[in-house]
Amino acid sequence: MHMTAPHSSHAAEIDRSQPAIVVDNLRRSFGDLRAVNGVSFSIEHGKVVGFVGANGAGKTTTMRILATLDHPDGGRASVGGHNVVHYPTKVRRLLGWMPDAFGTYDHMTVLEYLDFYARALGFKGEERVRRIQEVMDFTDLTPLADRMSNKMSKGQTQRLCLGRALLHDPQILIMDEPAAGLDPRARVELKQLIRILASEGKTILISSHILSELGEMCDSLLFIDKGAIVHHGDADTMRRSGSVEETLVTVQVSGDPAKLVEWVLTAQNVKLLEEARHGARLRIDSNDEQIIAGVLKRMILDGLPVIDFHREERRLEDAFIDMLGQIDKGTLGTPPPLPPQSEKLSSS
Amino acid sequence: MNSAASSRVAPLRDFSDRLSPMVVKELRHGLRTRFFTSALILFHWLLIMLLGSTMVGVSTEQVNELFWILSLIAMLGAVPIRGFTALASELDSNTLDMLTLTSISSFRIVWGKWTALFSQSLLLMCSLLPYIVARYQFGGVEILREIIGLIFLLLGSALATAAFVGFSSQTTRLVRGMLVVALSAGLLPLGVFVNVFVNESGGDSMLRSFLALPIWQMALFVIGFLGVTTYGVYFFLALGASMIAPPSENHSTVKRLVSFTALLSLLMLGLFLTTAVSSDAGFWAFAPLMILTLLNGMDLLTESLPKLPTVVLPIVKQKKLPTRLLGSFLYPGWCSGVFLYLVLAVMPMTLLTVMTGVRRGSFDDEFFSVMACFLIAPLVPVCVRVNRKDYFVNWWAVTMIQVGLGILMAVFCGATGSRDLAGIGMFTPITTLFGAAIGSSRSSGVLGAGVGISLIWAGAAIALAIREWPRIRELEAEAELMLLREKNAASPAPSPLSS
Repeated sequence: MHMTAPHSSHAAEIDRSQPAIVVDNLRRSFGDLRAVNGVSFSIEHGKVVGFVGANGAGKTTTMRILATLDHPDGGRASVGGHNVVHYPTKVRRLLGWMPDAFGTYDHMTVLEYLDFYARALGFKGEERVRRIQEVMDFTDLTPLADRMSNKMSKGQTQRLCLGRALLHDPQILIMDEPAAGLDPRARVELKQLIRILASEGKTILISSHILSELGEMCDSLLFIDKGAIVHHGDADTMRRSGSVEETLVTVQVSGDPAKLVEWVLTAQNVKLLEEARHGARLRIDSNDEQIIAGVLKRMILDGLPVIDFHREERRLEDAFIDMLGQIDKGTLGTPPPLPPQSEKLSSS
Repeated sequence: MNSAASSRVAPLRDFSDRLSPMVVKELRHGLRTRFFTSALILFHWLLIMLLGSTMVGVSTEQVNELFWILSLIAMLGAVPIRGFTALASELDSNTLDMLTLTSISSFRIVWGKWTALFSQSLLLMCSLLPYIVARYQFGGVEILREIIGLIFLLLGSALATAAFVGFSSQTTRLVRGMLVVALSAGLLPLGVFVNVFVNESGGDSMLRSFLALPIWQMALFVIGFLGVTTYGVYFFLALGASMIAPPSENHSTVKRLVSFTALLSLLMLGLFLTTAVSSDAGFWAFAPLMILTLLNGMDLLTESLPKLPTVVLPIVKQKKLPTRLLGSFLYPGWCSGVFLYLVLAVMPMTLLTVMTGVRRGSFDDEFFSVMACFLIAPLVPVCVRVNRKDYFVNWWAVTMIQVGLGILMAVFCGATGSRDLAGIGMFTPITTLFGAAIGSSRSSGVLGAGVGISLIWAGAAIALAIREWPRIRELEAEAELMLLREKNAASPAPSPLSS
């Protein structure tokens, strides 16, 4: 695998004066089902944004509209400054699309598959040969060149899909559940490829159910539920947002842990969750860092021989589930305002 | 970096860059699958056995007949029917979206599929030539007739393949079944014609009559025949392309313009033949004109209404032309389809009127009414919606319901012996035709009344089209806004120093 993404002279120029992706009050219904119901967000160039939501939340529909494969009933979406409805051809030149269900052809090798798409994208002669080689090197498909494209593992198929999406060197990548069904090794490989692409300034919108990985890869996350964006921000904000007012800590003490248990019974705002061999797992009824620090200070002042005080990181999955719970209860606040959108009247 | 990265793959140079990517893909696919090779070997094995049978006393007439039956099955059946999976396979394997995102247009996708299959037909036809020569050596074969028969077969194969490929995007099983039956029914007369032409005495007299024609008439006939076949191939491929095209693309306007030009040319040819030669000669133009008009009806009246302004933009851009008037006939969607279909339907009726006027008695009023019923029939499904999601499925369903009602009526009248009841069939054009066929003694009355009632269907279709038109107007307005935005963006911003 090459550590740099391949670049092509076929790459379409992108207007960087406008956000890479702008979605404004997007709506799409299928019969009575409102798949997308007023989705708005904007993504700046070079950002990696995770798109999070339960099945049927509207992720794929939004992404398909951005990829010009579906059309909205209302609202507006633009990619690279081009309205996806009015200028689909221009949008297609700018973006690479990795669908959740990726189809290959029977009786076609990996090399033939890429050759076909390279031809379809307008590459000719030596340029085509060179470009295919570059993409195969980047996605580590060279050893699989003669393998039938429909006889590969899921991970290899996803690399082929990424290779096809990168053939025309798009500046914006839209990836719908690229890690779904991949084994851990293939997931790590894919993550590595995405990191390289991100480091080279490509804008990536990626949806996934594996939220911890999204948290690592993405600059920010968009939460969608029932066709509307319910939250957005970076992974840390996401972990904090929508969470209940509590912090879980694991404390270890030197010697008998009973002292710690006794101390908890008398302490304010601290509850014992479970006893452990050398300490206990506690719940502090606040996520205020000052209060958490105060609890540790009191422990030490009260003479507890604390040797380890570990605040448990709240997982994104927990945050997501909490958030869905709060949505069901109607207690989730409105999401913070989106960055300003500035799509100019443009012919291009 | 992986060590494999430094290794190189052997570049593919098997096909030229000049070939369409889709053709290259399909040819590679075709060469790798064993189906065609195996079928070709089996076919030739059968033909060799057939030729060998002359050694054991089988008559040359029987051999000739079997040779052509095998050739007909291969060229009009086995190869074209493979086209029925062409687009369905792309839909099933979820690869059509990928193709949409490339620079390959929907028409080129369909064209590539057809070209690959037609090249197999061509290969098959070439492989038949040695057998014709061998049979000529055995005697009992008129080589010119056989060659012309083979050309008919090839053109028929081209048309049949295009039809199967064009309709292959239909995934509803019921519709696919009906299409196979309808296309097979359409190919059967062609097969019978080719068989009669090469094997029966009628074919010999047909050829002699043709060769006795003046050169210009022969040329006109050949050009007309090739023209109709070419247009037919284009029509089916364009139909398939418009069915798989993304909603932002307009594949309809060009198809409509081509269809209008083709049908108008056929009308002109028919009028010329009728006046310069005879009304019988005019019939050679009337028959294809009628069939093509009905096929266009099926297409025009089943198009979904456009949803995006990009599809009306090419016409809205034409500021020098009466845009709105043109759009009434050329915008995609069944609304404008109703208006264009009515214009197209006037063409065969005009030709029929001229033909009957030139030689009164050759066609009677009943024939005129029957043709009118056929031409109005495609409009009924516009007014009756049994499937609101898919206009194409709805069209076939409503048409089949009419045919079913007609058959039921015929059975009922036949069983009860009450032919007078045939009049109840007048409520739709198709049942009118059944009614006229049953009550033969009063057929002109039934037909006349049926045509009158059928005109109500036509009126209703026009009313429905007008009712839906505001949606088109909204798209026009949005397209005009797009143009305005383009204009604003193209014009330089005013200098801040200018007063």
